[in-house]
This record gives sequence, C-alpha cells and structure tokens, in this order.
Amino acid sequence: MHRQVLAWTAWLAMAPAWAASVLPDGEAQQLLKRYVGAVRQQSYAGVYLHQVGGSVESYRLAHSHEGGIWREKRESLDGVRWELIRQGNELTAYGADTHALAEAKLSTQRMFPELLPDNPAELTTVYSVRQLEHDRVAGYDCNWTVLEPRDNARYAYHFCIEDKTSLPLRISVINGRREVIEQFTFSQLSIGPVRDKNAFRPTFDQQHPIMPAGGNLEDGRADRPEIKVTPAGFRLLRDVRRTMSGRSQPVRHLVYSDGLASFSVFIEPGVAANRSRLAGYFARGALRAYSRPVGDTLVTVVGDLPDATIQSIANSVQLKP
Amino acid sequence: MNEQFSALVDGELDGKEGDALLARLKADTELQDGWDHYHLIGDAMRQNRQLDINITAAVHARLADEPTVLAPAALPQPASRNRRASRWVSLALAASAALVAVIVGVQSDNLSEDAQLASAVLSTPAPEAVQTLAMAPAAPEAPANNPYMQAHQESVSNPYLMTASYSSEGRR
Repeated sequence: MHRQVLAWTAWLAMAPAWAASVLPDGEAQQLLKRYVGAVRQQSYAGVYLHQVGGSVESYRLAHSHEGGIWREKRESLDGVRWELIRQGNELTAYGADTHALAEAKLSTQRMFPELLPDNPAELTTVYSVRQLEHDRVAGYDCNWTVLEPRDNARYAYHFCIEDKTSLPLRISVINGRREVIEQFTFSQLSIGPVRDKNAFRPTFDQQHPIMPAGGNLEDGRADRPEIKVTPAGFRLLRDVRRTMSGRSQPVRHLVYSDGLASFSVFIEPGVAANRSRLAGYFARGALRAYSRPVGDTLVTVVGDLPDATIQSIANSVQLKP
Repeated sequence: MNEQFSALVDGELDGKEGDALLARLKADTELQDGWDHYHLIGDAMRQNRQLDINITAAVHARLADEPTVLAPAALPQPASRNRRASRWVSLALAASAALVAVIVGVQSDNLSEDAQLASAVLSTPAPEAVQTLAMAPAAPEAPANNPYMQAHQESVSNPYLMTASYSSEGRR
C-alpha cells in the first residue's frame, strides 16, 4: 500500500514535466534562433565533456565575440593533442603531426555548443519543441528544452539553456527508450569577456586550414540511386564518387541531413564474391550502420539514427543502371 | 572496508583477494549492509543518467563464474578502451547494483528467507540472468578504422557543410 502511494506521489511530481505542452511552431522557431545567436554572440570560456558509448573525452573551449569579430579556440585535453582556431569564418587545425591534424578535423563534426544549424526554423517541421524543468549545469541555472522527433525515425535532442544568455550548457541525445546515447556538457564555465590574451593563440606551428566543402552536388543526375523511404526533413547535401580504403573501385557516397541528424548511403559495385561477409549491422559510439547486398552491389547506410531507421533506408534504396 | 569495496569495484584486487572478499560478502550479512551502504553513498553522489547503463570488463568477466552482481541495465559492452573510462563505468555498474539492491531490499518483506540474502549479491550461477535483463541485442562493435563510418564522419565533419550550407546549398 505504502509503495503504491509512493509511486502515485512520484508520478504526480513528474507529471507536470511530461505534460508540458508542445510550443507553437512560431514560438519554437524564435527560441531556437535565440540559442543559435547566443552560441555565436556570447563570450565564454570553459571545459566540456563529450560522452559517447562508454567513453568520455574532455575539451577546453574559449569563445569571444567583441566588436563584431568572433574568435574561438578549442583544444583536446585527453589523448592526442590538437587545437582548432576560428576567426570569423576561417577555421584552422593545429597539432604536432598529421595524425593530430586529422583528429582535429574529425572533431569538427560536432562543435559543441554549436549543434543547431544556422537556420534552425525548419527543424520544427520534424521535431516538436517543449520546455521542461529547471536544472543547474556547471554552476549556471538552465532550463531544459526538448526537440522530440515527430516520427520515431530519429533521436530526441535535449538542450539545457542558460537562463540569462540562452547559451546551451548541456546537450543530450536520447533514444526511444529514454537512454542517453551521446552527451555534451560544460563541466566548468565562465560566461563573459575572455581576458586571457593567450586564450586564442595556437601552441603548435603545424597547421592545416579546413576549407568549406561546397560544390559536391550535381543537379539532376539520372543515375542517382533512389531512396524510397527517406524520413521527412532529410535533404541531400553531397553526392560524390570517392575512393575508400580497402576498395579497388570508386564508391558512390550520398550524404543527407535534417539539420541535426545525418546519414550516408554508400553504393559499392562488384562485391559479389564476399558480400555475405560484409552484410549486416554494426555500431560504433552513437553511429549505426547496416549493409545489404543488392545483386552484386553492396548498399551501406551509416548515421546517427535508430537501427530501424537505418535499416528501412537501406532496404528502400533502388539502384539505377 | 570501503577501500576494499572500492578496489573490488575498480578491478584492482587480484583473483585471490577478490574471491576472498566475495566469499566473505556472501556469508556475512553485516558486510553486505556495508556493501549496500558503500554503493548507496556513491549512487547519491553520482546522478549521471548515461553512466549507469554500462558495465566494466573487469566486473563483467567475474560474473561468468562468481556470485553475480545483478545489473538491470547490463549491456553486452566490450572492454573499455582506456583506464579512465573503465573506472567510470565500473563505478556506474556499482551504482546500478546498489539500485537493484535497494529495490530487492524494499520488496524483500514479501519474499522468502533465501531472497533476502540476495539483497546485493546473488549466488545464482547466472550470467544468463544478466543477459535476459539486457534491453536488446547490441549490434557488433565496428573497429575504429571501419571505412564506412570513417567516410561518413569525414563527410559530416565540416562545420560549413553541416550548418551554413545546410540552409542554402542543401535546399532542393
């Protein structure tokens, strides 16, 4: 009896949080735009953690926006040392060797706290936005804003947004079972002008500029494979033929994104001999992948999406001769 | 005593010491209380929701032939790749075990004598039990140099592509 009462009390205490209503699209878009603006226009310095799978990595970040100029330095504190420095729209990697530079480049796929696209308004077509309870992260009061998929095809993104500046302090990626599968969080932070003159200087001589990767999409290519089941909101960003390690023939590579989540489709002809060995599921961190032979062509879909979505995309790929 | 618990959870005890401690835990109810207490404190201090779903290789290996620490969120996760992560994960396992201990403890008034004994450490020979509690079969872990995953990561690891270009170039 006691336990039942306890359970009801707990449920009632939680209920307001779950019952928080979905924001109207206009209001949600204003909110998301404010977060995007805050990430760029505020000045802040601190340390953040990135957790994925069973591992945790930490990074130091300084970001400054003064007199219309914004500068940023990000450096790895664990494992291989590298630095990423941004001045306006120029992004440069620094490190002791090419391995470090490659690691730095790879890290640019998620530049916390800048995870939302520049124009986040369209996210509301595929994610509903709700505001949940207050919390505290790295010494600052924040409020949870949740982007929940309107379908079950992708993960939910939870943002804890600082009360005064609208800066995201913690971002969690949550699956359908409410498990955190990936998380970024400031562990130490100070919001306000960055006084340290050295905060934005590189400590390595070896550098590598990271260039915009535009112009990789040719219009109306007749031989582009058709994907019958693309979840709503995903757009084609790249369509290239590329070489891949361990493959003799070029591989067709298409990249899609909904602004938050992304997936790649690889089309690889001439794998009849060992196709059974290559087919199936595999996973790494928050990434899921599924390979499926179609005739003597291998179709592989990789992305930060649930298994079922990855599989249904892969199953719906129709090749064109 | 807490130091020994801590060493056990971190996998720092060698085989004999670990076995001896586990045997004592099974026999000594006072020690079991101490074990529960140790984890309750740890659990209260760590509230990270992600960190409570993993399992450390060291403790996991021990599950196969030893009294099993019941872990409801046990996922068949391969060995952690570094010491730092493995420490966190092992603490997290301990936290999960403590939670189960609390639940089992609370419900034990309806259960038999045998079940009460199991408040934290079950003597069932049951790696299977842990398996059945896992949520879903996990996909096999791809090696770090998996070419598809690398290619995908490289292709999205361009801030211009993923943010600025998304709203202009990607619009079709």
